[in-house]
Amino acid sequence: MIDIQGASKSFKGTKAIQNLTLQVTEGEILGLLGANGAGKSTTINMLLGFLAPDSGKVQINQMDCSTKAKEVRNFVGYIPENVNLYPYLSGTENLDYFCKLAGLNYPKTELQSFLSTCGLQTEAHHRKVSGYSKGMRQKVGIAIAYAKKAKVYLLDEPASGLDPLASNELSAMLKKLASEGATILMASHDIFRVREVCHRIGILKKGALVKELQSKEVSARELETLYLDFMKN
Amino acid sequence: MMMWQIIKNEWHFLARNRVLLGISFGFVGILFLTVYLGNLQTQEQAQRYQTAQTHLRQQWENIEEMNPHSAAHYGTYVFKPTCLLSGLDEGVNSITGNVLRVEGHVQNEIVHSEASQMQAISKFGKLKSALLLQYIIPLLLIFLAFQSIYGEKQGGRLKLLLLQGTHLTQILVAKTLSVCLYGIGLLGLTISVYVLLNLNSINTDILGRTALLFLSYSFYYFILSGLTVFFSARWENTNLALTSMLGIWIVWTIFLPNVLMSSVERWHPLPSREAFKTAMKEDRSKGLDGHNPADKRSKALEEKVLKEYGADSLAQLPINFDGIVMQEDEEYGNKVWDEHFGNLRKALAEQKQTYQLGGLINPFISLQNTSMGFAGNDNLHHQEFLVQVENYRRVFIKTLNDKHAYGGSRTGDWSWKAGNDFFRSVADFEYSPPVLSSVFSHYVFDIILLLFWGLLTAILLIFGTKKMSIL
Amino acid sequence: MKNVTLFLYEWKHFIRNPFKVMAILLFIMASVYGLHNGADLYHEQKAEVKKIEQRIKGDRQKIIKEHYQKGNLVPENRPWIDYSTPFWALWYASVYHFKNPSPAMVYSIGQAEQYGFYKRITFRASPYDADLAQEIANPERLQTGTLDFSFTLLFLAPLVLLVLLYNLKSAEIEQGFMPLIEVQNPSKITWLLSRMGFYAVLLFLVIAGLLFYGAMLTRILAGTGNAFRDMLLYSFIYLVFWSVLFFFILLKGKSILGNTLQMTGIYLLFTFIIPATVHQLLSIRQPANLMTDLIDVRDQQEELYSQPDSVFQAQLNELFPAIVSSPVYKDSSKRKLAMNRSASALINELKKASIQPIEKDKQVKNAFVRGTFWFNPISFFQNRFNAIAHTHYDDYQSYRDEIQALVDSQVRKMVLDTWHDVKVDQEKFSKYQKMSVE
Repeated sequence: MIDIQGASKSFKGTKAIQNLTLQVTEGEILGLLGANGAGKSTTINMLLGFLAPDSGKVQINQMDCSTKAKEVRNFVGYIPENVNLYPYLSGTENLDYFCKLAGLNYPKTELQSFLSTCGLQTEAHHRKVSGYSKGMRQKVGIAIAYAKKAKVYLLDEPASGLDPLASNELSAMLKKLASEGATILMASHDIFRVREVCHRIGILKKGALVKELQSKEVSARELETLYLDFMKN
Repeated sequence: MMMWQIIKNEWHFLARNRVLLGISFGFVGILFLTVYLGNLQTQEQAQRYQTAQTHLRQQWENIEEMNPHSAAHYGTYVFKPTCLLSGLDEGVNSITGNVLRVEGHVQNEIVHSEASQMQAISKFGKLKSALLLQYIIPLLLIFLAFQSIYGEKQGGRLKLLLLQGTHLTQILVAKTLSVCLYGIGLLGLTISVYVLLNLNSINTDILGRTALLFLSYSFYYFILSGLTVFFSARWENTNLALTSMLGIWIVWTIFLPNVLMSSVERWHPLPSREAFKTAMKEDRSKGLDGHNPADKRSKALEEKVLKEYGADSLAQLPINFDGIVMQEDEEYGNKVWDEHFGNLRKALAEQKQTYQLGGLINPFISLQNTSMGFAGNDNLHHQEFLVQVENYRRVFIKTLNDKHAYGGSRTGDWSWKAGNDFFRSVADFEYSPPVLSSVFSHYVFDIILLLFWGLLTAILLIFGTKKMSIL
Repeated sequence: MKNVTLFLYEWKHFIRNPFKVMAILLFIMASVYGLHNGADLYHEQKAEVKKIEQRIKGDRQKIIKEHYQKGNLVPENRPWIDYSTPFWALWYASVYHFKNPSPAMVYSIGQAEQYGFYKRITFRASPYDADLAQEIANPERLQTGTLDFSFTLLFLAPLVLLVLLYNLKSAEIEQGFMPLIEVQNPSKITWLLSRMGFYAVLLFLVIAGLLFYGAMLTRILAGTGNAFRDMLLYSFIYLVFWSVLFFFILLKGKSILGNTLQMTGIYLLFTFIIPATVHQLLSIRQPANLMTDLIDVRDQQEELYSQPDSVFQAQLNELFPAIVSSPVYKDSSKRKLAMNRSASALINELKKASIQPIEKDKQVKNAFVRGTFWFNPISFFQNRFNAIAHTHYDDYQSYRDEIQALVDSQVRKMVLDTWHDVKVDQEKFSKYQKMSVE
């Protein structure tokens, strides 16, 4: 599970994260809402071990993400806004390559089944990624994490720029992963998608968590009003 | 294992990128062409050398009868032979002369260089493999490597790679190796084709030289690839990585070798030809004059020889005293040549040693040194050739003087002539190129410097990227 | 007006790009270094000529004092020498012919280090004598080449231009604001030309400044030649050549990387690949001449000496018909010695005949090189710069021709004066020293 306790992070005097505390448990999806520069990506980068907090602790499965980054990364999957894969390799080859980097050697059929599980159409498996849509690349990105049997999924603006159908497929996939026990943290601007997918929602403003609520507690309209109020004040 | 995966992936990229594939095939084609043309030129030159050498030997062996000292003036000529590896790296060959006159009384200089026979064509030499391997392929490696890390960073792929458990150092080293291996592949192909084309002439010495040549280039390719990958990782901008490396390429390969070589010649100056000749002439005049019986030193020698043979006058001597005087004159001259040409060689060696130090700031200098050195076409090999010719000259002239002195003639009998059998018996010059073991020590420093640079690059890749931004 | 503004505005782009400013500064530094190298060689050669002239003067004075003034015309320790004979007087007249360095050498050292620039002229000399060898130099340095101004101009100036131009237009395309520019300016070509023009003019001004600086080092402008003007003109043409090539690349290019690759590729093609290929092909077609024709004179000389006197004399008479009416010709006691001494004239003819195929071989080589200039512009410009600096192959060929003419003149003088039994005194000896081509 994800556990952040009183974490702060500054860049050249500018506070990116201020005393942030949040937890995400197994099978739960937490959505982080916030404007550009609110600290969503910094939070994810701290969890990935690419940034160390100035103070406080950032842990996954009770392991410190900055000091034990290598161990933590063994069970973390990451899906950025743009999954940039090697354009000259096919979807299967990209997945195979990334799996081998993680020390996993799957037969071709299994690789294809991962891709299919993550929603990539069979006919696309052997096509070069240069011809993929953003949604298709996203699916390969999820397949990479899935094949790694990631327990924690960190998603940075995953639905940005996706068409409604692709976005819908992504939501379904995330729900499926959560139902299988994955811990998911998703940073986004998309209030409606976050409300639809996530169990819990946190609103970040200037690096601080200003509001935390259960998705079920609010309607989409209410969430939008709440979010806008926070942003304005 | 992980590194191997990354290297394999990079090669996938190469194999599937039509432009790069086209460039690679183009390069392989040009490299084969350079090997073929280089080989052809070496053969043509060797053929011409052989014809000229045979022609000269025939002239010598056709001497029906001649006074031995006249024969010393008639002399002979030695042509500089081509080295088998000239086809790969010609070194100083087109600059140095090709024809060396071997005669009595004087140590001549080699003249008639190829460069002096026509107007300027190429500042960087002929289209030899060395031109491509030293100048062009490094540029290609820079172009292949400058985006390697920045490209991954830009697409966010670097994070994905790291998340898969790969260490940043592994990525950097693997990227470096994949680019460097591309260069080494081209190098290997070039050398293999060369070896195949010359299979009949290859011996262990040539193979050893080729292997060391291969090693030097491999180090250099690693250094360049590593530095480019390092810049690609460190700089915030891919253009900056490219322009930095282009700058380094210009400074290393075009600018610094010129500046350093010119400076080295200032630090260890060589005498002007006039000063050199005048000083030798002066020292030479202190010895006896073989052509002047009235010379004081000749008189002293005369007395010594008369005493030795128990004779009262030269006419009583059973030998030809003129031949002895001539040889004495030669021996003295040899001391003078040894001193002056020795000083020249010393200054040249000092220049070379100082230039080699330039490898501390520019590994290209070390590469150039080892390349032409192991190819057997640097100044060291050239000087060795000159020394061997001079040694031959001394034996050649002594043989003639001894014949003049002890061949049956009497003092003052300049009309006495040795027969054709004698001239046929005088051995022809045979050049034995220095073996690798005897020249290796001269290049150890260059190899150490290349290793040092390789190590520095590895340190930069491992430690210089610790604080690199992944984001 | 708009184009002028664009042109001037480019200064801001330039000055705010430290990389470009650095490139120009490095180019200036390298060029100044190169100019000083050229100037140093000029001064060294001049000093060497002066030194030799002084030595010759001393040698001649010594002979005049010790032999002509004291009447000691046959030295006791060298009885075979007779200073009163044209043969020995001319031998010891120490006539030298120099190729005086041109002040324009500051711009291009060219082939100056591949040839000798002073030669003792005797009736036995030849332009292919070993004493016309190049100055003593480290062959590895010669092979690397000296960094002179023509080197920086030929090889570094295009690289500087590349650095100055590589991101024009493509930077705007990559940053996505090219449409904005296109909306403002209807002609993309004019826009690009104005920007490029700025850099080309900037580089040309830098080169002109450097040429002027070089001119100061050897006082070129004080001379009568047009080296400064010619260098300026050819530098301009050279810069235009590269600017045109780069312009088309930039016009068609859409990315910085693509432009850089293409510009570097074209640079390598013209500066490395084409000249090197021409050089290699020429070496295969005509490998280095080993001068065996010249060496064969040795045997021809032996044959000459073994001829009967009558044949020898007939050949001499044919060469110098005036001999027949000379006093020595009619005096049988002096005739044999005169004939022996005149052998140099026939040997000179043999040498000249043997040089002909060598010269022809060289002419063919040079014609081949000239024939490639239309696709090998760098070699063309390199040779142009050398020609302006009088360090071109042709300059040294002319020098060799002058040497041959002087040798011919020496031979004629020695033969005719010998057969006319001329007695050399101090005045005649002084005249011999002032040899010129007749």
